[in-house]
Amino acid sequence: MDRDKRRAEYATGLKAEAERRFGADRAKVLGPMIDDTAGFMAEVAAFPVDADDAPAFYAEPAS
Amino acid sequence: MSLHERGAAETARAIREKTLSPVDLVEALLKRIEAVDPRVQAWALVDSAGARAAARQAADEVAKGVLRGPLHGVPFGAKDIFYSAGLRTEGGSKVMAGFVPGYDATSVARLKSAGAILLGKCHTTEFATYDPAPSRNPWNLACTPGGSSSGSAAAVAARTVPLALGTQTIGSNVRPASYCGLVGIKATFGRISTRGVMALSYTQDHVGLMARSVEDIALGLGVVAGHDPADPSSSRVPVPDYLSALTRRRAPRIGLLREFFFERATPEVAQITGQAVERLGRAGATVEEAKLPASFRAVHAAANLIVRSDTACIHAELHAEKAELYRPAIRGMIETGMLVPGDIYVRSLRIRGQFRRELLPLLERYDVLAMPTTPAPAPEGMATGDPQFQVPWSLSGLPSITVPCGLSASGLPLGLQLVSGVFTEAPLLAAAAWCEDVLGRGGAPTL
Repeated sequence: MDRDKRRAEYATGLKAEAERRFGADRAKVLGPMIDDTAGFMAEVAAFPVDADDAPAFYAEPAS
Repeated sequence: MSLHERGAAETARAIREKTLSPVDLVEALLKRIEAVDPRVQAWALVDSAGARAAARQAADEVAKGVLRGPLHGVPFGAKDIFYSAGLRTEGGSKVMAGFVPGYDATSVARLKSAGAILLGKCHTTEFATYDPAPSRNPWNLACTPGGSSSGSAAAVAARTVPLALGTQTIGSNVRPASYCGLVGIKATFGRISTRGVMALSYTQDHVGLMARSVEDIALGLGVVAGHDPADPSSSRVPVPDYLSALTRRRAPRIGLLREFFFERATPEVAQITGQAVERLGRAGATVEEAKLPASFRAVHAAANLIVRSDTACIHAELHAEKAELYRPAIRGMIETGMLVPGDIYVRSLRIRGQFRRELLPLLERYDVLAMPTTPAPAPEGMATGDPQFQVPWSLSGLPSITVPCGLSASGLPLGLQLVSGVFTEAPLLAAAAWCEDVLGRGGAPTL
């Protein structure tokens, strides 16, 4: 999917969820941060993560 | 040289040799705070009585031939998100107004056990995020000292304390150190315990140190590093002798990251940093241009989503009770973090794994990766500046350090950031000390 389209879809979904959880006034205040978050989500979703890479939590010990 | 200008290692040596009394040193620093802190506003709380009592005790012990450790009698400051037993710790937030912890953060406790004296608590942005602290940059009071460890950087630069604890989740220790002409380190994730430090992220919170020389950082790191059974993310990797590593300093192999870092820097920062690297090359360092891995392009997005999600989780209960008391930036981070889907969060953690793996060949080829510490010098106003040059190293957990490398035309300090492999703080410090020898120390602001 096109990244801009994905970003717009994420932003729409996040704003709807913000309205549900925090109310319309608060969701409006959060608008610019939601747009940022949607942009980050679109970047992460579009990046081709290697199939072998598991989630990394801590730095691995030096051997 | 006035007492307040002396560094941590130098004062520790003088106290050991009985040519300096911890009592005189603490009095000199309290006097310095009285003189400059109304303008700099580095300190959230100065524990004059506690520091004086600790200094008297340290002096008595020296007289009896007792030295608790390598920092005996040396004062330090702690960012106000470090728990300090019996001392107000508010994290720069109304949410924590009046909070007095019952115990010391592990790093504070370790410094005290090594003989160091807690002089007080340094201002922080709210919960170490973006809502600014009142602190000003000692090099130009119109400018920010950076954040979130604003007060720690300002206090050390203003010569009100030789050593301070800060933290870094995105870019909060190395950046303010650079803005204030200091040496600042963010060690490998897990190297320094985060127990007793107000949390933002489960996997990106790092304790850091700021001082005015690499030697002082090595001294402090040797004290605070090491396994802490009370911190589940704390590493068991043995702690080497960082001070002795400095005696093995030699010209390093430098992988220069022009891509992204020099491209995003202002022309002035790119020029001054480039000139500093040329000086290192002329002094014997091997300098090659290094290429960033493919996953680099996703690291800023991944880091931001991880921190927002973690912050939302960590603050969920306080937010449910006291949302109105939070300032706008941290409240927004918490609330947008609550909206991030689980699959995106896990994918961000996988990108971290891939980025760390793809960096390995670079970290094996070079002793350090080098780049400007910040895209620009400290900005005017209250906003705490741009952390984007720290983000990859906070996400990956790799150790990074900044050393001063020049002044902007406006007279503000600039730094050179060096990065190395996991748990390679000893060679990183040795390389930083070699660079410091070539580039010189950061100088002092006029206050």
